Amino acid sequence: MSGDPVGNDVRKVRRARRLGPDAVCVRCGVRDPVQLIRAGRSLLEEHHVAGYVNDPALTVVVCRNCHAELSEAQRDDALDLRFRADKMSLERLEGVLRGLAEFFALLAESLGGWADELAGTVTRLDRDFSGWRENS
Amino acid sequence: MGEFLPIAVRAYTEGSRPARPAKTRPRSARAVRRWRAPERVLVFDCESETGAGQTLTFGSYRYCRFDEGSLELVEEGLFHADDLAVRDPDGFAALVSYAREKELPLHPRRVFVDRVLWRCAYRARAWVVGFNLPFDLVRLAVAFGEGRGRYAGGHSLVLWDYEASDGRRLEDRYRPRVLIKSIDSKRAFISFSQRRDPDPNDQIPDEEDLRQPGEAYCFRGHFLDLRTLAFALTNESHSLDSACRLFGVEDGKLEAAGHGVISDAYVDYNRQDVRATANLFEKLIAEYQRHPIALRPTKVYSPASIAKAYLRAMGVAKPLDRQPDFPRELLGQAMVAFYGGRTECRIRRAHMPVVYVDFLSMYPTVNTLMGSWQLITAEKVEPVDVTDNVRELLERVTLEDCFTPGFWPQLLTLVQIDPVGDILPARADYGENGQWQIGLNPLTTDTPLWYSLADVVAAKLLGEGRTPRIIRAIRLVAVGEQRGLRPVQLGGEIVIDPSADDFFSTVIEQRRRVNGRVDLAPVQRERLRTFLKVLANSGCYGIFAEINRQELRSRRQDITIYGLTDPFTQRLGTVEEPGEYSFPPLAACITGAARLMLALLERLVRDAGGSYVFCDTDSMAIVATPDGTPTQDGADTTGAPFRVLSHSEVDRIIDRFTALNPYDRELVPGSILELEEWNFDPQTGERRQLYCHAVSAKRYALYNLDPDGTPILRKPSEHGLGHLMNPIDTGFENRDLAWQVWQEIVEDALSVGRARP
Repeated sequence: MSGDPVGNDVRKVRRARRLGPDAVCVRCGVRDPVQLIRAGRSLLEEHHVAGYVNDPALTVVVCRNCHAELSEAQRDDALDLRFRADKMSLERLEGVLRGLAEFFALLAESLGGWADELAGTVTRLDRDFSGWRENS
Repeated sequence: MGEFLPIAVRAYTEGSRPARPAKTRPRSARAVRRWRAPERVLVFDCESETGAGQTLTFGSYRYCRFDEGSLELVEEGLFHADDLAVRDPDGFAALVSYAREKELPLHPRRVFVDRVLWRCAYRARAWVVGFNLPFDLVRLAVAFGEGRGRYAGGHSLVLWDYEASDGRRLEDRYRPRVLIKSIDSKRAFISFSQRRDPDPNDQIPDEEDLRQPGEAYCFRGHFLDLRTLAFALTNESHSLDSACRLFGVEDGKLEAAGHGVISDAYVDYNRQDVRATANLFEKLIAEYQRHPIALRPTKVYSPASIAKAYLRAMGVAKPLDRQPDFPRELLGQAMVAFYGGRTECRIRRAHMPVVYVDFLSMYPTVNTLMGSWQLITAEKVEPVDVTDNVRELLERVTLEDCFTPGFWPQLLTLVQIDPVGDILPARADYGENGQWQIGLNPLTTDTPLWYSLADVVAAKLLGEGRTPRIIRAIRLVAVGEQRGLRPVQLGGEIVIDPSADDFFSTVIEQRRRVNGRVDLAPVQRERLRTFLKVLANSGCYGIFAEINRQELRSRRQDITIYGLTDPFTQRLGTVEEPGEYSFPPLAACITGAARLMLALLERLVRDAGGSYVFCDTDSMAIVATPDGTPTQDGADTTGAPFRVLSHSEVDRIIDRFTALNPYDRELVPGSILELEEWNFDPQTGERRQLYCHAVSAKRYALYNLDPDGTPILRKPSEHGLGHLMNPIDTGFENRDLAWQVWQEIVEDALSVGRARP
């Protein structure tokens, strides 16, 4: 039994208020507010898919962990994230395509993982609940 | 005659700037719907000393999660007055022992408001739920000040304080105050005030799609008084016990184990009150959510709040928003013509045999007869001069004409007349005691006055056929139909289409239809019947007459006054703001039509050679015995001798009103004038003799006599007793003050000997 059930509950309510309803990371699907929180920073973050300098409006909402991974991948892929006054729109477009390619690759990897998990579930259903196909 | 008596008329006022700009902006239903309902609930209840001060002794609380309509307890606990150990050492010891035995947290008040109320009500934004919540909040206060602005006339309570370095306790300015302004015994505005330095999380608005803190945002709290919500849903005043029974709370209120002395039984009683309140919360919210309306339960103050929310849900535009250029002069003239329901006492302080009759849903009925719904849903309302037409109508109108339904639509008309001894309502200080009351008298004035056409027709019918002198007549004509009207489901069960259906008649007819609905359980039928009755009565008149007085205090401004004379401007500290659906011309015509209906009844009683003891808006106590035998001599307030009708003569009068039944006769058969239930023996269903003793308008009692002549009260009016604190000790079984006062009055009048308690 917790020593302060009211305090514990109030803390969760306030965290949920900050996150809003249906808070979820678009990449990994994490919904647990506890995993979405990071003290002193925003809770869910907006990842600039092509880098802020290339397209400030092109963003997706991701959790802190995924944001770190996505940003690291952009740097690995030598996406030019620096601001340059003489940067032309063709160069920014290159950055957008490169950023999107990287993002889709990570998304594909993530979706592939979900697909693998689904396939595993189907296999286990066939093994343990052979009648499930007739009932579904 | 020849006496001069000042009379007063109402006026329409408009400030040079809106007193509450936020309220004058059209509110978007979407903005209200987006509100995120709290998912936590704090229910608490305080016990107090029985003396006049009613100082806090102890209380209990339950903090719960609210998910899918049911509560899940997070913590239950007790609290006590900060000084209880000194003030009542035995009680304190009993409380400590109880808390230890039951393993409940026990906090001093100071810790309770800090650890529980502050964190739950403000930080977690839980519903703060109580039954008669202002009473409990005041018990927790350590100081109070006067309310300001919207809360002028109310109080601001200091709940949170701290100990300064010199040992004094000072108000904690980093916590809000709680603001309370009572509207009446059942309703109050309650909110948090602003506080110093709120943190960003507390500045995130409640709306679902807003995440970012708004610097101007101030969280006002979610205070929900279940007494108010129960009243709004039923139009009846409830105790916790009666509300629990009505809404089917199984684990309801316990009988008090004796107030004042803290004991295990008393703490059990208090905890059960909190449990019952929590259970009632679940039931009331479930009931409220049946209504497809976008209104926070904490913003519901009366049945009218729900009626207005339904009009919004149907897409009915607010009359003065829809037509911002509607002539202000006509609004002023309509306010001059506006009077409430007619109430009158004709035979005072006499024991009179009566038949008590009332009209079926008076205001919905006259609205249906006049076709008011077309006006309410019109694209615009056009004022049309019909002076010649009305002069002609008044010359030829007869009592028979008024019993023709086709006569009534033309009553949506205001007329300016030159009263010369005409029987009309007038507001005057009749008793010369500073109280302005409305009376129906022969009236002669130097200045022309505005009345509803219905009042002027009534004046002709009651005034020996003399035709009042008409100066001007303006008819309200509906033009087109509003766009955006949409059907709603009343109570989640009955579809009404505002474009095709007359709202008023549909509600009355559907209420009757509910009786035959086998698809609903009996309790659902009763719930729906009650709701439709409440909706019919709250949505048919008051909301069109709603005027809210605003105190401007230091923000005095130039107020333009429209009414009897040409408009003029005065610098004032108050302004009357029209309510959301306020439309004075319609309100004046509705109440005028109700007075005409009563005038028709008076005329029929008079023509039949009868008298009446009193009339009250939609009812009349007609002097009558089974065979018309007089019981006593005397005279009414006009000097006319008492005259008695037989029951069959009264029945014939009732039948006359069948012609004015505007409803589907299969659903609502017969007359719109009905015999009230008290005229019948509930066991046998046979007619029984009812008696009445009245002392003034709205102050009367209806009763039967038992075989030895002792009065058995059936309906004592409570008017005039509401300002008194009930002096009957809480230990007495019958604490109904009105009942006991009237029992005494009637017994004294009848000289029935009885031992007094």
